[in-house]
Amino acid sequence: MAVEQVRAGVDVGGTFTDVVVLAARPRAVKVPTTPGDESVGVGAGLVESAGSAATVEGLAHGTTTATNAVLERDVARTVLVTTEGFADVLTIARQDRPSLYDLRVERPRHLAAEVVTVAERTLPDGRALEPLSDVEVDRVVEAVAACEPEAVAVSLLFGYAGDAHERRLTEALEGRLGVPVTRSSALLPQFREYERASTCVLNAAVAPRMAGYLGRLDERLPQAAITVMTSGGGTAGLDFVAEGPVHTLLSGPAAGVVAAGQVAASAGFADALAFDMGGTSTDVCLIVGGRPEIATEARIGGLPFGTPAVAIHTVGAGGGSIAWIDAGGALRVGPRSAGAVPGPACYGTGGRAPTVTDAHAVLGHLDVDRALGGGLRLDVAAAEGALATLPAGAGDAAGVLAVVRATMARALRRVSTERGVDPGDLALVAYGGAGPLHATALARELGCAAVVVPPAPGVLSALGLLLAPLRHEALRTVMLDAADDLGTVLDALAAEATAELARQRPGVAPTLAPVADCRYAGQSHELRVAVPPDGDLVAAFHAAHERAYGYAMRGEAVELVTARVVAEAAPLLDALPASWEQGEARPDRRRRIGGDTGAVEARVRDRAALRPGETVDGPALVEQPDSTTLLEAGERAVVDDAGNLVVHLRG
Amino acid sequence: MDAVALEVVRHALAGVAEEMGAALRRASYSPNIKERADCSAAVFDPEGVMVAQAEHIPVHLGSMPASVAAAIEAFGDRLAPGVQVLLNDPYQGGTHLPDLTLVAAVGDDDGSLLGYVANRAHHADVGGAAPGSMPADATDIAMEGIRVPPVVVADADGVRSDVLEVVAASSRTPDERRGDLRAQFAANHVGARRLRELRGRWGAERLAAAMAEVCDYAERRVRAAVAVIPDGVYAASDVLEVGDGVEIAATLTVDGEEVVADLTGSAPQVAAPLNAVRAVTVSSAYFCFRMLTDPDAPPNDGCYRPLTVRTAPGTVVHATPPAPVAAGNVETSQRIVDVLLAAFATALPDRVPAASQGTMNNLLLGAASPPFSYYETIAGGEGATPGRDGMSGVHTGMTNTRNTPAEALELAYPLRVRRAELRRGSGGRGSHHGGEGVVREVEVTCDEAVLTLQTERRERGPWGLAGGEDGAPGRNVVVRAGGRAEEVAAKGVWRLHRGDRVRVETPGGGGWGAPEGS
Repeated sequence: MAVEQVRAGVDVGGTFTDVVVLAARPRAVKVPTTPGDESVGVGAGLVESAGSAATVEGLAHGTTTATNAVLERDVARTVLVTTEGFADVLTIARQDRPSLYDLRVERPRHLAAEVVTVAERTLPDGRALEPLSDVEVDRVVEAVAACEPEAVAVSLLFGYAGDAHERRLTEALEGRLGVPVTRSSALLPQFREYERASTCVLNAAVAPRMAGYLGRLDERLPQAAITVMTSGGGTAGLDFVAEGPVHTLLSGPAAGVVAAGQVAASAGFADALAFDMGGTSTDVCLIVGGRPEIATEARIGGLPFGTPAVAIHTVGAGGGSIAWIDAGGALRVGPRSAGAVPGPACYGTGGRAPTVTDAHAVLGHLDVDRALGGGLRLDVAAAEGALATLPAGAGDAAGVLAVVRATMARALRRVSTERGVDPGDLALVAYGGAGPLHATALARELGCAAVVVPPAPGVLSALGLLLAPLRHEALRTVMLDAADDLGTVLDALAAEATAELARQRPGVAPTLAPVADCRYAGQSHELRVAVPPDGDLVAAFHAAHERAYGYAMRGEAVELVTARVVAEAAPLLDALPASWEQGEARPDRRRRIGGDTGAVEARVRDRAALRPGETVDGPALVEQPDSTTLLEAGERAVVDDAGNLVVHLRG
Repeated sequence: MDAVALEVVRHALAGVAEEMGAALRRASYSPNIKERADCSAAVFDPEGVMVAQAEHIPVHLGSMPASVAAAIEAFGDRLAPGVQVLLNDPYQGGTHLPDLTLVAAVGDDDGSLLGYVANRAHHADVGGAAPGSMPADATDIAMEGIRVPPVVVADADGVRSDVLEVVAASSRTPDERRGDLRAQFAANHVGARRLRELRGRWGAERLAAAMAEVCDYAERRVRAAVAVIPDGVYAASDVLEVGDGVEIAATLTVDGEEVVADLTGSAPQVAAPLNAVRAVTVSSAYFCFRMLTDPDAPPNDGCYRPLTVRTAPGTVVHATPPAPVAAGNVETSQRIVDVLLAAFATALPDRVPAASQGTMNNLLLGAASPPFSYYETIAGGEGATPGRDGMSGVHTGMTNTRNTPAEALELAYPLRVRRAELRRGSGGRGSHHGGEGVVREVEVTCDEAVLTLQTERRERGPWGLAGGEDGAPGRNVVVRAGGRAEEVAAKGVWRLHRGDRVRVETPGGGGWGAPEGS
């Protein structure tokens, strides 16, 4: 009997594994994450959503395996091999300290257990100043072997400019040791020795664990073509990710902002702010032209990596954040969080401290009749009790929400106004469990044009996995005059990117986009610019500089620092689904809710009951299993053709 | 104002300063501001009281209010909304000459004053006897570059470029100056707009109340932290390594919720660029105070109300014209921190760390042909704290600027980095060890270059505490192309040739507590 073959996006989060299955209508489920081996939860989620894991022909995966390994520092015993004279490159880093005044804050230790240095030297133009002798190669291999490593990173000074020494060492080490070896000229041929070495060590340190995990996943789903989400906003094949696990450090969040970009575009907004508020933290990201902004530098646990990553800014505040009064008498929210255990007081799982979620419970924003996971019910009395522990006059539930909103507004300004982008032109795309509860108040505070809540805000990252293209970015630091003919450089990178995608998906015909990191000669800060079709990179850079920084210096020489070609091929899903399987809608109802201006009677509607073209007028709550949208008096939400709830805030 | 409103206005006002700082870095041209973040931005009330600051480098902590005060004093009522004042004169609201500060008066629609916004950026060159405007052999301030007293550079009719052109023309890199000055105007523009937005949202009365309340709030937090410091009088002194030693002496009096830091016993100013103007000394005191009271309190006027700093004019911590001051910022400020921390250590033995490297190890290399000018400060060892080992190879005290990667440096200059490693064994031993210093060795690959060094802690290493050993003092070495190595002075100017190297070995941090086995 023919079984329907399906494609699925599976995003593993801290608490839940989210699955979106593309059947006749897309269907979403949440199952508990299985720490230790995420693939168990992945399998369970597929069984629950698709009936059987065996029917899955295509799987796009968001994983936290590498991320958690770094954050928990549960990594392979890693040796860094680098040029003599630079043994402490990981310790000195960029010589700055993380906190100007707070003595308790230390720089994080890097992940390499040992460093072995090599007598050799490559010049900035790639020639050898000091050749690498065979004797030295043998000595280095023995020294590394004596460290009994589980993984090795080779990152030599100017290795990006001339890779001969790195290649010889890597070959010799692989032949002798039988452990994964990360070579900087292969992983990230880009200048700045600390950031490159850091990226390589991060990669090597998580490589054995990632390879093991992906092997187990592949065994569990032998018939499925599996791709994994990378931090840069695309997917990649299993072999690529097994060799380059550093590419997955922002896997889940990147999928969310990719989807947020497409959601904004579907609602008619090219530019937007992605706002993903979860239990313990909130991710925000600027979307330009339907795509998330790419960062110039990303960090995990304080350690930088230079591989492409979406420019997500994270703040340590979410639904579980705890409210408290500080020594100066101000009401603060976070950074301490009740987390999943003991959880907010209203979950009745042992939490006693007042959290943001408790404030919502007290104000009637949450549905007491809807079962929480595990058959628990919302305990409003417990939430009231928790808030009552704040000193008299310290603020009530509405005050807690006002404070968390101030924190969120500052985070959103960081990625918009502080980059010269006026929020007045942007839509706020709200998702994650708690995002839509705060969205309209925040958007009004920032002066955003609109709020857009996608049809399934609780599983947007899983949907983003399906929407993300297969993507590879080939890059090399070249240091050329931007007015030079770049044909040779870009052709070589295009061939490299195409070959890599063909390796991951044979027969693929990718689109190619050349990109250049440029700066005015003498500057130290590059700007990422798309190389225009007419090839006039200098003019494109002046224009981009003007947009980003408010002026251009047209008389100055422009340097091309790093050249890139981005190759992309079709995602598993080429457009947002128009309708979702959302189950039975409950009848409309009414509930008294509180807020900044006191209690009001609010309409409560199920999201499943809303059809395109319908409107909901605030005060109102739109409820769905994993999220609630709050509309205040005077706000009107319209369901658009893509199924988004859109709230226009001006005009 | 209730607990909720307080937190909301705190975020909003801090956000204005942060956005100004971001605009300044975004729009600036030179690496010194963009990448090294040697800049600050702040918001002030109509009286010139600082209500929020985004400081990227501690040496600007206490010196921004002095700039606004100088602008107000110079122009009084003529500092009307729309007017902007530029200054760098260390003796009228500045710190050292490369730091240019731009102060803007911000008005309401009806013309009434809402407050001021100001920002400061370290410009790479403002003229003077040497590239970088920090000549090690300066004997008066005229040798250090152009001196700009508070002057009006913009009014209701817009920017007046005459003075700006004088500043640009005085620099060795005029285009860079124009670009960076433009960024300073952009930052004030952002700040003024955001301040008016808050006025629009809250009303003038609530804005004024918010400004006052955040300061009172910070003051309450800091007073609560000072209250737990034992009352008493605590004294300490140390020397700058010039001649037989130039003493910096401090007496701290802790009384209830207040502290007086008296530095009037410090040595007379010297005919070398190590003099600190009072604003720099105040910044150094604010830094220590912030570190040991409430590091997270919002940096505004309220934080420092419980602290009084006393200095005597004509001393090395309160220079008067025409003393040169360029290194007062970068070296003397570090020693003032050491002395104040030493005094606090008696009061707070379980809080205060041992001495950190206590210098910024200023290294300048340049030439006329090929023309280049490279300036860097080099990290060292952090002093061990009562709770942990000191960090190694890190900037401490009054600076936090990043290093230049070897791969960036060699592409930009005729130089080669031969070594950038920790200086093993330089951290003082203790039950917690001091952090290790750094060895940075740079080779000249052009025919000839001029080396300037401005360093400290070359004679006595950073002190240990509670039985911890001192960190190793730094060393400066020139290795000639043939291999001959000579140890050179802490401060001075040398001529290097192709193949010559300068090796700077920076001090280790002091240890804390008696080392094991002693």
